[in-house]
Amino acid sequence: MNIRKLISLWIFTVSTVVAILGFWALATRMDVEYWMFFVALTLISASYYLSGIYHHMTEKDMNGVFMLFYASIVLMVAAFSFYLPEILDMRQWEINARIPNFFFYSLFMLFLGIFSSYLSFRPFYNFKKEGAQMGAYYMLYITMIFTLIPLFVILFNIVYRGAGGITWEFLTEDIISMGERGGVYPAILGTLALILVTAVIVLPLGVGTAIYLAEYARKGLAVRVIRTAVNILQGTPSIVHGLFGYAFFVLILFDGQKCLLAGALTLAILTLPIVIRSAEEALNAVPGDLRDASLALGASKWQTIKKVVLPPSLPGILTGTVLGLGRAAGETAPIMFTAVYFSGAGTPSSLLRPIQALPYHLLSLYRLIGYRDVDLQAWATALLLLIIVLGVNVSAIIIREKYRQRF
Amino acid sequence: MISRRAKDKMVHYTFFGIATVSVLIIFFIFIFLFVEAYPAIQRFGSELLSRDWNVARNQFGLLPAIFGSVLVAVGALVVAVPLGLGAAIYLSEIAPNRIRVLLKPFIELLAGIPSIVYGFIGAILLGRFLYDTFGMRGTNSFLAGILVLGVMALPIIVSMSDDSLKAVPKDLKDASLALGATKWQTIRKVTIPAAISGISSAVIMGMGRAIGETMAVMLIIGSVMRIPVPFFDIFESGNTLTALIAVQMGEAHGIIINVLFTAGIMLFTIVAVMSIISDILQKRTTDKFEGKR
Repeated sequence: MNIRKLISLWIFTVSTVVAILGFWALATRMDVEYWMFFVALTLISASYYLSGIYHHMTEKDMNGVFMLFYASIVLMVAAFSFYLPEILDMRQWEINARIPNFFFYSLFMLFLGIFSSYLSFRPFYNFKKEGAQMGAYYMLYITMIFTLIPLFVILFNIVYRGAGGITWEFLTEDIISMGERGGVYPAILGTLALILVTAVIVLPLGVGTAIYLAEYARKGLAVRVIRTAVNILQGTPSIVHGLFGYAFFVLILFDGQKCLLAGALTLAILTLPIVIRSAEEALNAVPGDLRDASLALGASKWQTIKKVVLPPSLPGILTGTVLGLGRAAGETAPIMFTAVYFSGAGTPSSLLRPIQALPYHLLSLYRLIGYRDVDLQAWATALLLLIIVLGVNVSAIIIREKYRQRF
Repeated sequence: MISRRAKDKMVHYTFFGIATVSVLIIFFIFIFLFVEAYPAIQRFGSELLSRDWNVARNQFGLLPAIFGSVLVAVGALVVAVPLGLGAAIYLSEIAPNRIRVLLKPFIELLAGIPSIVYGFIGAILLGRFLYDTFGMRGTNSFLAGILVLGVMALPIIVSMSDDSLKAVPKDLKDASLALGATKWQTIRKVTIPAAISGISSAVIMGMGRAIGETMAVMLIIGSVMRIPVPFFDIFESGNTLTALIAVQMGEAHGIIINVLFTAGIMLFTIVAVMSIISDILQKRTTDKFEGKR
């Protein structure tokens, strides 16, 4: 470890600290002042200058490589902050915002930190091409981290704010006084009933379609049309499913009555493409040799599918179905016009009666916030919904990991 | 007793019948949306594309909602594409297998969070945060919608781009490495260009998700039928096609229901076209590589 590498490491550390400070200041709306940004900038520039000296650069090189860049930032920011008022009132340009200057300073710190730590890999590798590569990798790590940050923010907030609301009463009672007290018992049962009925409807349809596509279909117009239809179905917005469910199932099949079956049919349409895709993938994973061997023994095509192809692909089919049902359990838009009421429906008793369901319960509670004291109940409902949906997802992932690569 | 051959044929046709259900559903969706929308189309015609929405005066111009849908979807892409693409390149090309196996489920969890939960969090925490930071007039805004939809489009973009990057044949990369290129040069000059149609199909699907997303947008966009002035003022509240339908449908009656179904048809058409384009792009990638091998 020579002194050049040490200096580069030092630059990297300082820049990372500056970036984290900037991010933290953004997230907490900390009152960053101009001098903090200026200190960070000076520190980093000085370190780069030092690094340049130890790389035996002439002053001209250093200007070219680092100093010009930093000087231009300093000048720009200095000029900018000279004109930047305490609060930038953008309403003078008819834009509905009044942005305080510390927002800009913390944003500058974030970008300065990230960019400077990105550059610090170059002197570390003596300006060889590995430096550029490691710098690029570093930026990719950062995008990965920023991709995962929302997940952790969401999980943390829901657990932190909702855990206090999950009590015995919450889990076993119906709504009392518009959700201020009581709980979500009928809604839990309603959601479970909904995904059970959905599973019963979607499994034969989905697996049947997948068997056709994977085992029988030859290349041709019919297959092309079916595949396109499945793709369109997969992309169809859930609210469109809801509209269709309302227009067809509720208005025509069930005489204007919202009911469990109408909701389940709508959700079955929503989950159908997911089940088809994963079932087809699972069927395709079964090697052709097995089929040939079975056919060579004199089994018919259907016997081969039933006895040879389906059993080993069952875990894959199951995983896909469970993933689809997990998505269905959390959907609100398809069931809000077809199956659910906020209160009064009670525990599900018949396919032809309306139900209560957790996602719609959360929506209704959200609408009551500010009028009624339902905050804790809403957070607890969100937590419960998340536990159910993620629990379903995790079990699907476990099934997949356990049975993967059988061939 | 039917012969074995006949029985096999019957099974074949049964499965074909089941497989056509998806096609039938698409037809049914279109027909039923159209039947419900027809009275509005007949009565208002091209007025439905005007910018004036006033229920009391029977003006039902959907343009503000269309504008909102497009603005929010494009904004979401600006957030999601750089992050998602970076994460996908990291996962498929750089991450050691151990870390990849560890991180992939997290991406799937991000996709698994229900949209109503995104909306709830977005409205309560993010809306409040933006309100405090930017001193807007209310907690609802396009900006909040863009940020939440960006996060929601991330998992699709990550996993689809990841798949298409992984589909690039190893020979291509090896050839580049053998010529003395670094791994990063190979990624930049060989892998990404080879996977570009798969990546674009991922971006289109992400945009489709952003346009079609309902519950999250509905809680944070504000449901104001107005195009902001100036039009890029993302700190204003507005509306999207999905939020319009979800909010109005509950208390709507009469002709307005038919107008909402017209909005549904627009939505369905936009997203269906995007699915088809994305499908074609994806098929092009697979064809390209299968031809090469």
